Amino acid sequence: MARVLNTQRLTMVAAQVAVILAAIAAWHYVSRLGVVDQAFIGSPAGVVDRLWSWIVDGSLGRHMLSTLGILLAGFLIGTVAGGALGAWIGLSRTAHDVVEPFLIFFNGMPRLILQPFFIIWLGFGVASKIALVVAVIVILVAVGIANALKDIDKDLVSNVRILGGNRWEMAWNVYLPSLTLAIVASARTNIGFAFQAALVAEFVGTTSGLGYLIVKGQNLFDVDTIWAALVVVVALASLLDYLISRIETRATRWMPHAF
Amino acid sequence: MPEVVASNAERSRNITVLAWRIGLTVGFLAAWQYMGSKSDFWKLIVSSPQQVILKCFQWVQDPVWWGHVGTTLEEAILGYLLGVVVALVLVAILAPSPWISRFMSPFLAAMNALPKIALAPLFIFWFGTTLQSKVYFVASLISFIVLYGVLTGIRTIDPIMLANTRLHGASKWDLVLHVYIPAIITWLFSSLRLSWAWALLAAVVGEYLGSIKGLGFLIASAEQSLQADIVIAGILVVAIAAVAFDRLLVYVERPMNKWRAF
Repeated sequence: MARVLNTQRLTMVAAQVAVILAAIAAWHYVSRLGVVDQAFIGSPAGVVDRLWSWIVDGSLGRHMLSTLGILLAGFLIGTVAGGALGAWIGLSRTAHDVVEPFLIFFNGMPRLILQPFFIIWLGFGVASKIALVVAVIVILVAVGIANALKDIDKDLVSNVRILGGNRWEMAWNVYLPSLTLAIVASARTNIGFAFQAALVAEFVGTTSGLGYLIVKGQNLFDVDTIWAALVVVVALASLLDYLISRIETRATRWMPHAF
Repeated sequence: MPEVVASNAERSRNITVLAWRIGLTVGFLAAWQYMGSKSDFWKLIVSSPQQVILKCFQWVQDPVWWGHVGTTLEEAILGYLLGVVVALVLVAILAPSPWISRFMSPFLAAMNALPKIALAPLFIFWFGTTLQSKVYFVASLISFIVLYGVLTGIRTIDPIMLANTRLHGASKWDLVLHVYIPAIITWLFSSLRLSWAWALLAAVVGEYLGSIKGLGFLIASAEQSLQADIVIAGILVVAIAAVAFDRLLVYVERPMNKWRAF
């Protein structure tokens, strides 16, 4: 049985790899033979060429670090601020009711368009870029945390209180674990949004970062640069996603049944 | 009698909440107005609520502005519709065959990992500063969001329920009508809701990067000439358009969800 499954799986992987290779080959020949203008679709060789030159002159590392720095700084600040806001909303019903209409507005609006405002306000430096990531993340974290706190088992809370738990023990043993879980559980989607924000933040007014590389390709009419930058973006995004999912399994391992 | 007391307490709480909301809003606007009036420098970068409101009033009477709004809405709506149609066609291809959907899953995962807003420059490169570039960009985003949402909905279908329904003699058509469509519809609706904000955002970002019309263009050119009031008012208009439509969809969605027991 296991053997059958394995061969099935192998066939699947083989078919997937074959399709990718066929697509790259088709791309290569279509651009080489000029079926479609090469300037329009680029070529696999051109993309590899760009990537290689970025690796050789060390600019790839610089651009990746720039994007990652903005992403992580914004993500951390946003998570801490959002956590505090969410804890406040989740624990006080009045606070929840007061903030709700504002939350609905900021949650419903596309926050990435705040970028021009941040640029005017904070300039073209790192501050405006981090601010954009924070603005995108903070509401998501706050809503997630508030919901998690609202979902805490009331019986558990009463039981701990009856057993003599004081405020601190309560915070440490009941609220903190569920808070941590909520943060970790939402981190995976949030980091994706943070990545988008970091890229958009680098679209204008800077000369470093992956977002800059993509726009540079557009401005130079060099589609290979766009593709190469997108390849790096996908690789980095997948890596981050993988790392966070590992942290997630780590953090939820103690639970009786993983969800 | 206790009910009356409870409702009194409830009423005074509601008043407190309302007072806080008004207080926060007024406090924020006052602080902003103060900041904007502190010096010419601050006025330049944060403008003031007064100026922003004034700008909005000017715009409402200005046919040129309505032209910009029309362009953005046209891009967002056309892209949205195109994206939804493409997504539903893809669902019809992917969903019926477990083999195809398993085959496609790593590709879909890779596409999901891609921050799709990063594709904007590619579309502008391909289609120029035209209307099409934004419509296609919006459509590419929307089709993926809707496709992913619907496929998730299909994955949440309980296989035991599926087997039971089949055992009771349901035909293929019955399954689609009574199991698949009800399972999909909530996910479809939530992804349609989510997509609208993305459609507007994508249209505006596309205009921001390369266009000669639309709200994104308006914001971009005001940013270059440091006109904070236009930038802020423009962002505000986009935000209101996104939230208003979102609320409308919530309103429409609610009765449709009533039958769901879980």
